Amino acid sequence: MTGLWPPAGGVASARAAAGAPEAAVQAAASARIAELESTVAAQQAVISTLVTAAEVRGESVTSLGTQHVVETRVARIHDAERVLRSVIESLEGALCIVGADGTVLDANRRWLRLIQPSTLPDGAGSPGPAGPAGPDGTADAGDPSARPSAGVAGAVGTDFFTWCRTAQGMAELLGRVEAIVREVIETGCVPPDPSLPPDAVRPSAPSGQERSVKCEVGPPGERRWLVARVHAVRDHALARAVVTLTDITDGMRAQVQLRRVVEEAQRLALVAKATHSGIVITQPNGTIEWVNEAFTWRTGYALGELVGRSRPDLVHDDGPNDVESRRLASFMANIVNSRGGVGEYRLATRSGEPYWASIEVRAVVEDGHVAHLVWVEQDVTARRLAQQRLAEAMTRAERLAAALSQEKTLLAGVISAVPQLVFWKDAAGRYVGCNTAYLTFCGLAGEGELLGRDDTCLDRSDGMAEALLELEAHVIATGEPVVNRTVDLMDGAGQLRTLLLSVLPHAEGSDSARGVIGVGADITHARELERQLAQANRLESIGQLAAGIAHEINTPIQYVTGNVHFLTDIASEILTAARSITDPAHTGTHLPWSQVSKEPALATLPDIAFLSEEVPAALAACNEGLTRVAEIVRALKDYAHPGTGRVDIDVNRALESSVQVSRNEWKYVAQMHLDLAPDAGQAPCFEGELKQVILNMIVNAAQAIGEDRMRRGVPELGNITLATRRDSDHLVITIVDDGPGMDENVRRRAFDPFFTTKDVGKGTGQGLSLAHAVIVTKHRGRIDLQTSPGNGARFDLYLPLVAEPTGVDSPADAELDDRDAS
Amino acid sequence: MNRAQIMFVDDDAGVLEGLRRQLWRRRETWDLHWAGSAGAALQYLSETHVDVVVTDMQMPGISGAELLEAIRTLHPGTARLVLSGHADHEAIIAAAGPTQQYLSKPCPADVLDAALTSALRALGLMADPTLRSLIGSLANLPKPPRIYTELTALIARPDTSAADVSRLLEQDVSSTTEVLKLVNSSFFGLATDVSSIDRAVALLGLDVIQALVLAGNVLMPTVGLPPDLDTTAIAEHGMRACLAVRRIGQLEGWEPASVNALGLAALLHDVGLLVLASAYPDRWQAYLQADRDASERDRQTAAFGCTIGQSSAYLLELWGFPQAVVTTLAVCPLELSDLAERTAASPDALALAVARELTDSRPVAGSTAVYTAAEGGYLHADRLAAWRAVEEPVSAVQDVRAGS
Repeated sequence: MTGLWPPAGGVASARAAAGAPEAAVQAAASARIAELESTVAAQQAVISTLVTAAEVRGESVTSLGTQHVVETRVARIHDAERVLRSVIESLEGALCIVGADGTVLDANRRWLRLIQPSTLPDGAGSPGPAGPAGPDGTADAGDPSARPSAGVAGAVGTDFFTWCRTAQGMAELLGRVEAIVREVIETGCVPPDPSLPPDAVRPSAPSGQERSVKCEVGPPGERRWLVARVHAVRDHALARAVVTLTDITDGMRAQVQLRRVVEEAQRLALVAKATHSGIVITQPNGTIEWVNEAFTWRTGYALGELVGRSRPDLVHDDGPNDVESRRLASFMANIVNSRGGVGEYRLATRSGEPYWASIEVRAVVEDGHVAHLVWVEQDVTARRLAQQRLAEAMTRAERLAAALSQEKTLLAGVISAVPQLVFWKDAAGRYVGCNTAYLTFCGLAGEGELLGRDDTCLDRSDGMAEALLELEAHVIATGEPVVNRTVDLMDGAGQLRTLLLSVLPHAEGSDSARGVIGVGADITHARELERQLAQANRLESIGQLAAGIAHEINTPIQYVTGNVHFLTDIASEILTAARSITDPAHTGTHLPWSQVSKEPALATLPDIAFLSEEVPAALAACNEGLTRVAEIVRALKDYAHPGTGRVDIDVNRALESSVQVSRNEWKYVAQMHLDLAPDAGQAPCFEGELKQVILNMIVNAAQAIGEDRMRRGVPELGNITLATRRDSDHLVITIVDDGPGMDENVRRRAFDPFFTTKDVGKGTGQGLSLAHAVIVTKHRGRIDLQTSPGNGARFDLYLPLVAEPTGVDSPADAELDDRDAS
Repeated sequence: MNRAQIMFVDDDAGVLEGLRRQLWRRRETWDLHWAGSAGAALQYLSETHVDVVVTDMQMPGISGAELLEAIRTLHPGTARLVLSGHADHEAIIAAAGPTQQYLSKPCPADVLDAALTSALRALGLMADPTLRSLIGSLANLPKPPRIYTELTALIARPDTSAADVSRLLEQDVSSTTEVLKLVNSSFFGLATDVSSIDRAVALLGLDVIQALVLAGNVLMPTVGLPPDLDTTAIAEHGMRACLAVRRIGQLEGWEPASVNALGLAALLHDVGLLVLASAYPDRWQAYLQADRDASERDRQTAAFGCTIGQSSAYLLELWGFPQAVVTTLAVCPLELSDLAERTAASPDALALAVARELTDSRPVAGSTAVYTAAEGGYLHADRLAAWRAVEEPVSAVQDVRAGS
């Protein structure tokens, strides 16, 4: 008999297998219901069996023993039924028990409330609007005579399938439930869930025991999630399936919400991890609990080093005593009260590198207390630097503006104060402005007499107007400046004055502002000094030659002296002899010269052959010596002659005098060959400069030869050749030496100022540079140099036969003109 | 008698011709040789002995200075003169060592004649050819190295005065002689007849002294002076004798020129001793250890082959010092106690001898008492007493200088 009861293990396993919480409750309830029902059914079956047996045995069922047993059993059955009912009704879900014929054996009120068929066939009883919703299931269940479906009398006996089909709004769910129930009725098992793999572990009931279907029902806006479970009931007389419906909408919502929260948390975590801002989570006292990668990257600390340390103390190496650290700590203390704040702080990385960060701190409040602080730190160093630079730039700009303004004032003052003449005019030649010096130069009292007028309006007779007109016209036409043009003017007192004028195009601003700027300087005095200086330079070079010239003069004087001494001696002898012949005291008689005896007197004289040879030779030597001295003096005078500008000179003679005065420089090292063309004639030259160039080149050649011979130990003299010739355009002076020559490197630099290959103190390096300045720049000629090591050097100086009007006649001007031309 | 052999070297034939005619009167006694270049001169010298060479300075090839240097080493017995028209100090300084006398072109005939005569006469002053070569070869006189060291330090200082240099140079007779040679000959075209180192330094100027020292051919230190030869004492003796003899000259009212020459002779009297002692240390030792009983003249002659005065005279004659200086040195009596010497000596020489004796710090062999009583001719007792009286001021001057 007890074997009819479902094994306790089945219940237990069903209970234990309830995985999901809501499903477990439902499953447990269904199992319990099925168990109770089968108990009820078993008791009824026992009762029937007992009754039948009594009838068979002729025993009255009313026999006392049997009667008692029956009564007891019936009472137990009713008790069980009441318990069952209250269980059924207390279930959260709707429950329906289906019999083998598909009729509803029982259902609870929730079922009736939930599933309201639009029509109930056979008048089987409509639940009515409030029908199935009897508030008190216990009262119904208390009726001992009532069928198990007493509380839901309307529902019991109705066809489950019909009900399902007519139920409103749950067609899909009920349709699937219906199919399962049919299967259960037919086979006693639930069909396997096609959505589960066949070998999937089924944690709940044994295979075929239970199947659940989850579905969304209801009209849009009131959608609800229902789970229908079909539990196959075995070994029961009537019941085949228990169907429960549970509303899991709330659970589902909670689940969705939870998932959303989790996702959001994950997203936030990702953001916190990946953001460029440094994020620090600390305790309210600033003790670090967590930092993100950006923070470790920025500060150079590892996460492990940071946890447990105080955020404000990380500001600097100086630790908590640092001013900035204290500021940050105080900021943090405020956050605990104000719940949030932003500030900028100067921080430092682990290695001490300073940086600026904008720090936003938020308090995380839990249960009314600040649980954490979240620090979001942004590196604003670049911005701070940019701001700083901007501020500096502003300051600079202001300073510049101030300086500029000062400068402008200063410039105006300077222009007005410079002793040079400064003026500026518009394109039409009308004065726009000028300085005080120019006003004075023009003899005007104030600017008013000048501004707005042009030179033709001014009554000027000094030639300045014409000179300016010409220069300005050129500047305006070409846009090119005219620099350092020398202009000679006759001033009011009839004195010649020299002005150095520059006219520059003024192209700033609009067309109407265009014009010219003129700058002039009175160089009359400087020109005079220049002339004197050039002369002084010539004299100085003569001074340098003086020792050599002294030697040159001393030598002939030496032999003139010797010869004169000799001649004096001889003359004295001859006079003595003559006197002795003619002196009456000597002879005692006045005899005619022809009759005087000459022998005694003549006997004291040197022999006549000696005299007739030596006396004329001595006289000739004296003559020659004196001629040599005279030549040297003439050459010196010639050489020292101050040239007066560029005039036609006898170039051959200039060469001869240069050779003469430099004789002592070359005669011990070289023979001088003069190959001067008789027809060389004259050429327009700056004589003084030209002679100095020739002299320099002779001395250079002699020194080159001398040093070379001394170095090589060659005693023979070298050769220097000076030649002149005339071609169609030039008078050519050639200087050739057979000295050591120059290599390419020296040749290229030969004309550079201060370049010298001589020993220190022997040469200033100015010789050939001067040659270039004089021949090329000043005479507009050219110099050809042919040389190679071991083959001497040959210079050809080309002097133009026609002087180009260069407008210059001093070395200073020559240089300026050279620059203009380049 | 041998005719004097004189050679002139000049690249200018006109100069040689002029000299030949200028010296035509000497043709009876002098053989004149002519060379157009230094090379030709050296060639001739290698074959023939020449007593005096007179050369130009600047010539193609070998210069006059180089020629004289070659002659100094190859033919030290030949006197070396320069006749140059050069005005370049650098060249003159280069030639200052090997040149014994310097003549400037144009050179008056009598000056040239005197120079040649003096050079030839010098040869007669020294009989010993070895000593002649020794003294003739000198470019630098033996002198203690300290003088050179101090001189280079002195001239490097910007605040050095001519007096500072003089005070140093006068501490050494050799240096004094070298400097005086340069001013007594016309090396730098200066006035001759300079008898004091102060005047010599002032005339030359510190620039030239500096250049001379740097060029390294004058005032150079030498080695070989015997350590027991007190050069400072010798110089001091010379200075004191110089002052004393000048006082004697002034006392006697002699011509300033001869007083100057006398002073110079006193100042430079012992320069020959420095040369001899340096060249022959063994002879110097022999002289020191010579028999005290012998006369000073004998002791000097025995040790050195000549008297110190003769060697000094020869050197100074070669170097163109005034003839009065040379003569006085050559004939200065060594011992006034020797009546023969005393009687033969000139007043100048006697004055020098008295001055030297008065200022000599060493014990003198002959006692003053020996000859004061003697008959003395010119140097009679009264005069000797008067001369000896000049000593006091000399000491006083010396004390003043030492104390300053």
